[in-house]
Amino acid sequence: MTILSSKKSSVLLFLIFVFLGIQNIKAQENFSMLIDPDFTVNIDPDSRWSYNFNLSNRDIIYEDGEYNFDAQHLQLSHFTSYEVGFYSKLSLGVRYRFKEIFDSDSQDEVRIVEQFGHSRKYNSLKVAHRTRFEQRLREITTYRTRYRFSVELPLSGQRVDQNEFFIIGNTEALFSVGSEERPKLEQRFSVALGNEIWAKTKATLGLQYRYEDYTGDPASELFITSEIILSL
Amino acid sequence: MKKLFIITFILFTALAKAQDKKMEKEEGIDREEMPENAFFLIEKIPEKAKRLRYYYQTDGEDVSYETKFKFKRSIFSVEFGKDGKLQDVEVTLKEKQLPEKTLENIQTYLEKNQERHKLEKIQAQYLPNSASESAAEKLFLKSLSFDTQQPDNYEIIVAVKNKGKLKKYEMLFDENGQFKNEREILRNSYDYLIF
Repeated sequence: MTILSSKKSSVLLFLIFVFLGIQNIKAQENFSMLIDPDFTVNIDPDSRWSYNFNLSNRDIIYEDGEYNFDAQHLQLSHFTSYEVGFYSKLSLGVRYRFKEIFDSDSQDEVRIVEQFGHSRKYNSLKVAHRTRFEQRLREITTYRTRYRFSVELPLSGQRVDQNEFFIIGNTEALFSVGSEERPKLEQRFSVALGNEIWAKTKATLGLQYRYEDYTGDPASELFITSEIILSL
Repeated sequence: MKKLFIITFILFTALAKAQDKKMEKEEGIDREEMPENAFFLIEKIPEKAKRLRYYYQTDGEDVSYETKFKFKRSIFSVEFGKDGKLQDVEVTLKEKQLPEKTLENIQTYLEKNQERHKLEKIQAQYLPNSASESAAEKLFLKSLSFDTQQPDNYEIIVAVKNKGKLKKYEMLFDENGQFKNEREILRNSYDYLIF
């Protein structure tokens, strides 16, 4: 098999997986499907400080057994990070979710995030760990702890060159508490196919499956995620 | 409003292709795509070797080929030029596999010149002393017994931190651990994996 066809077949396999995944999950109750396009700018100058800006939007496309387009929110976030040790970063972030403009019954959300990230490359595999503490200030205040484990693998050769594909997979565990709600556990799984479309620009397209409140009133959501990432 | 979101979505997800231009590239290839003159050596790779892979790389001008495999718990990289001539053999080593005195010299050099450092990867480098096939074969066999045969150099990837600034270098030390030269490596940002 030539390299070109093996590259094509991995992309094809990914698409088949995506399609079958959606068909399977749709059969479940309490299920919705959403899209979440993201635009991210990462600024990493030659110092210990780095900055991250993100604009994203979320819309429901399938809910209660039928397809329906319903915008959820528009979100702006910013993180400032400080490098510690050889492979880690401490970050402080703030996030604003515009929800009221789409639904007058809901309130905008402000979120404050403290984060610790650790990332390293082992041969061709990139591995990243992320721990976050979040304060979600909305109608009610929720405190959330989350941990995410991510890996990235190039699909051709040992590193991602321009125009080459890569796969990112991650899983995240979340635990929320608040004085006005029952503690909730949630698990997320994501897989995304990425391509370095231009120098310093990556694009990814993927799926994220969220299994929410699995010890109480379970619900599942499937996100179709897409992201353009500029690294300056 | 809906339309606006659909448009943003399409814009964000449009996978555009960059124009062709000179650039670095490295990719996996099939065994048959290796240069013909490299096969006399490729055939000498021990049967016990695992994870045998072939790569092609270019920096836009020079082209080289590489065979990688795992043998005696170390990863071997055998690099060939465009014409299939052997360029070098590199074998990954753990710190404890280096002669004590050599490692001590390397550590002393780094401690003297850097505030903090971390050895990320150590490779024993074996260089052919002539371009002949017999020299290449001899060298390759020598590298296979890396546990007893001293290499020509040690190539070390080292992360250093000075005044809080993190940098990465590829440093070359001779067989006794004396510093020869260094080259700064572009440090990758993994922010896109974290956020």
